[in-house]
Amino acid sequence: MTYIIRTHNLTKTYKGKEVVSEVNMKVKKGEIYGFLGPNGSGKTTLMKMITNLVKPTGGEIEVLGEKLNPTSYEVLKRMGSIIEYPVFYEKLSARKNLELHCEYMGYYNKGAISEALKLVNLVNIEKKIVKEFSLGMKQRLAIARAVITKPDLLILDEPLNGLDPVGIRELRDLFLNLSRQYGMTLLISSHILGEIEQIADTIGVIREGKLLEEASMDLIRSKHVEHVELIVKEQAKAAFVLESELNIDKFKIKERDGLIHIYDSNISQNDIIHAMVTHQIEVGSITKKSKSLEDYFLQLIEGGNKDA
Amino acid sequence: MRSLIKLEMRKMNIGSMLLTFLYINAGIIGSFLLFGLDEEATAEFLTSYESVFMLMEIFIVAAFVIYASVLLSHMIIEEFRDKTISVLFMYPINRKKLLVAKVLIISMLTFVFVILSNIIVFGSFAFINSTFHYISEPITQDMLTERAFRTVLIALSSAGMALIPLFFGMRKYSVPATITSSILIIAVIFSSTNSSTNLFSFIAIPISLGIFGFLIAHLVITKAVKADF
Repeated sequence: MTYIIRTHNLTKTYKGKEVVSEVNMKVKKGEIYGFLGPNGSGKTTLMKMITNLVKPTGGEIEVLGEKLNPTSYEVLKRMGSIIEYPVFYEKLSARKNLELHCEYMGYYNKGAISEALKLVNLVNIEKKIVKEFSLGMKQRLAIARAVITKPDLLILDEPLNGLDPVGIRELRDLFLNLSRQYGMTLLISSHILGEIEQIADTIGVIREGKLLEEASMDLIRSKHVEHVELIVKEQAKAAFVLESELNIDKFKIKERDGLIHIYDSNISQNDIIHAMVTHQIEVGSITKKSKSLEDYFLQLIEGGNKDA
Repeated sequence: MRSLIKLEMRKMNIGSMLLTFLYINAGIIGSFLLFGLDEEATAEFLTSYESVFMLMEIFIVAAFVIYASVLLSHMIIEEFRDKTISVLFMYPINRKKLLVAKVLIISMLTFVFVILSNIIVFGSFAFINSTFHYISEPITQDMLTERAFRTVLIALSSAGMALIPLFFGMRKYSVPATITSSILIIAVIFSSTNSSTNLFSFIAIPISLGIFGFLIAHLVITKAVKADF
């Protein structure tokens, strides 16, 4: 497995307070890594350390196969990024901003600018000065700037801020495209799961500077599928009926009295009740539980604040 | 480094900069003309080439050191304040080089402006003098050589002095602090006990201030290279 980003016990302390503490993060090549955490959880600081804007207090970072040190500059050539919020030379035109970017990156491909602007759906604004842009437009322009040089690694800090729903969808598709078509690796942060849930291959959850969970979306989904909760008088008999009559093998008998979790979404509750009744098994209750991913992450993120 | 300087220049508005340069020169020449209108002022300022040279020097150095603080604000302070510097620092370019390029441009411009302005203003004054005859003493070759020598030294010193406001401006990324400090520096240097001498008359002082300015730039750059953004 090739890792594009790997951190080892990465820590940053500001004035005695740990903003990022002992983070071990792994971003695989070609994947979209959704970086989830509430505001002020250390997402931006961590991303700044990866782009070498902020120097770590402790730990190590490996990016694109190179260990970062304060004078790592070459590796930045292969990265595109938006950090915090989109900043531009406001008095210059959109095109001029992008031209300067290409020059500084050492990238000389004449068509690239128009191509990138088309990619983010910004048309007929090249001559306009950035000051007149709305936040959504600036966000798009920043994404154009980040992808213009076709970097291997894209680091996008809250790239969907300030966009309308249509825009969010467009850009989500763009991110998928960049990952699937160009093989770029994307690290996208957000404080809203819904924004990145559909496109992320892996999710990392950070709270108060600590990486709480890092798992593939598939794994998380499989752990949190919908299920039917069935409460019956005779657990063993009910289990037998489920297996033999309804051909369900994905269920779990819980220790709590009479509780059975059924993980087969194809079977309707009606069928289950019907089968139980025909076999004279008394049904206490039957409910469909769908704990969404959102709930799960909210719980994870807010876990520490609950007691407060 | 040369390409970095070129890139920096592309962010500047060269046209308005040249215009400012011309305005400043016109202003200085204009004030000489004004002095010539008034007999008292003529008697005080336009009696000998030496006093004209001194007056020119004050005007020119003051104008361009203050103008340099405006350039410092645009090219350095505002980049830090508006965080465009963090975009620059994500480029595959040594931070030190990026910042040295900026400082170099401002120093070089100040140097060139001071020299050119001296030539333009003195040329104009000589022309005006040939019509109005404020000063009757002839201009000697020795005088010009000595003047040229001093002008180069003063221009070099100004190039360094122009950077001193960085020290005040970079503390809170404040444009007003940058510009105000440059005005204060000028005010202190040119406050004179009498009309024929000021701190600047002793060549060691401008030269030390120039060196001091470059040291400050060095300090500011070293700090920024290590800092987090």
